[in-house]
Amino acid sequence: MKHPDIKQIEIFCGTGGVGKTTLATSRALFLANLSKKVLIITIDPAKRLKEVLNIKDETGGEAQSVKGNIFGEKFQNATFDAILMSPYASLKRIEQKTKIKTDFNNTIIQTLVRPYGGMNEIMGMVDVHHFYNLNKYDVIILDTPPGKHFIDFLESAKKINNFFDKSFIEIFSYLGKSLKNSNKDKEIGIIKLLVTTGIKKLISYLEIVTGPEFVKNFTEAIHSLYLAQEAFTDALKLEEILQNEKKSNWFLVTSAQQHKGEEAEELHSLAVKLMHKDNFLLINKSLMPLLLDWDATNSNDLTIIKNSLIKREQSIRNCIQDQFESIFEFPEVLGISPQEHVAELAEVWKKD
Amino acid sequence: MKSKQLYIVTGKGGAGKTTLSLALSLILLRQGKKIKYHCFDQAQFPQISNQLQIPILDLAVEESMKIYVGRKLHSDTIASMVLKAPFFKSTFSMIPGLGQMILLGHIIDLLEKDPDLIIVLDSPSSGHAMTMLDSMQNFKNIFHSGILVKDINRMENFIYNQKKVEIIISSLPTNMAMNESLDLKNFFQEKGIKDISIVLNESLNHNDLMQKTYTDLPFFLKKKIENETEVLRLFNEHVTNVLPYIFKDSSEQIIINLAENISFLNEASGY
Repeated sequence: MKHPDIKQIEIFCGTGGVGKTTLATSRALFLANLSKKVLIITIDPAKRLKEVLNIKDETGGEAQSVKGNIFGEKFQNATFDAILMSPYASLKRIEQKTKIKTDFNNTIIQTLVRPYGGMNEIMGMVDVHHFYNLNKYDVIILDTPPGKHFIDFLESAKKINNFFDKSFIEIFSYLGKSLKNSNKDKEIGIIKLLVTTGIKKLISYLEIVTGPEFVKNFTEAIHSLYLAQEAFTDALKLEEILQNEKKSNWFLVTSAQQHKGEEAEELHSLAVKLMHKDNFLLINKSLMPLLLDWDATNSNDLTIIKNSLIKREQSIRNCIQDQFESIFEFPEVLGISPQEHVAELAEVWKKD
Repeated sequence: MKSKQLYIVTGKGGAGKTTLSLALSLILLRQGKKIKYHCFDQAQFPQISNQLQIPILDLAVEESMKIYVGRKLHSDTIASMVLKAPFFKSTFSMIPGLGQMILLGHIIDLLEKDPDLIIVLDSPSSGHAMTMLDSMQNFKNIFHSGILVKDINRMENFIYNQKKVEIIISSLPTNMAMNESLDLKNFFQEKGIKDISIVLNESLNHNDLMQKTYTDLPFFLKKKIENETEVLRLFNEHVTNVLPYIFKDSSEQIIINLAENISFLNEASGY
């Protein structure tokens, strides 16, 4: 079995409840214990990382230092950074980075970057790329949102790209706003006229539905975003990094105990298309070695329990394992605190 | 007594939301209610609901948006033109909350038109369910005034009506799942929703076979049951209903079996 090399970006994905956050943290702890500089980012708005790392601060968005001793004495020399992704903080970073003065103090933008405004996946892409560019960390570990929202995250590069499509610059000429690159339009061709009149019509329809005040705020919001365009489109490079096997590792997490075979299979076959060759299937919460060792032959009831638990673990393996060359099994940790779980799972990364 | 019209089932990923939603649908169906199951903003599960003969409400975000915008502009053709325009298309895909809110509005609209209809909403997991409900307040801020805000107010009146809506949080007997469930419950309570139940799924403790054989179980299963007992003790006051772990092979059998074990509906709505 191939052991994962350490890469600059390591991405953990999978369906809900399989233990992505716990496993991602165990990897962070393992690498930090090897004296690597590690950052772990969670882009799931549910933010379970907070609980795993004992972080009290709810606001998030900034890197916080985590001491290894919360996971036990064995890790007392390890430390790593963690971020609970916050779209608001990411926007602030963009504001500071953008050379041209731009104003994000707009009702629409400010509302959408609130904690549950729905912008986590897109801003996550921008933020991860920002920290990658800082060159401060040896490894950045990504804890992604569950299921379909993980695909949203992967598709956000495409969404950003479509949003900043060149043809939209037209809308601003119509609205009398200038953009840095559009100094004195050169080509006033027939095509441009068509586009402009088309937009005029669209805007008038929009006004009927939303009222003129919204249209004003909306165009202002888009104008500010366009001024900061580079900070967003720069994030598209992250997509390349995620597809470069020298720079990233993909860990697909599944639980030996989950029922959602179909969903996992669907997600995995989707992800396989996006991944490069260096990918790993992590089967979490496995009781299999213990179950196989258990002699339940002296009672019918016990045999039923044993077979049923084995069958459940087997069915998820049958669904997806063929698609992977490297499979790692992580035991179900029989403890209550999340820190106990992380500490025990961190040991598994050591094994050859 | 009348039942609610909208049951929103949410919770941690992998905590059995779909199974619970379908079991709930099955109970309501057997009571002779006019019920529809809807898996919010995700692929539907026609196969399993077919086997159980549970009617599905098949709505997608794009279609809902077209219908809604069409109604406002008094023309489906113009609506579809607006939504197809690359600029708007890519803008809408940058703000996923808007489409979700319109879909939720569409569902509420159906319920208001037909007071006998009951919808069981198999909702996104915790963080994204909060986004779904927060979208109403967020877009009210954004649109400020105008016909859209009136529509959002109507949605809010429905969602915050105790007689119409109940939230069911599907959870598991672990610390992580329970803490996430309590976070969720607090969030919904702060929003002003009163009827929220937490349902604990897959309890080995409540499985007859496990109870019967407890003394003969191997150490790791005993330890699992011990951990569960501890979690149940810690969170006891917050849990409305504990459902047993079920040893069955097929999903339909599990759902049918679960439906027999659900009691929280009686308590919440008093049939």
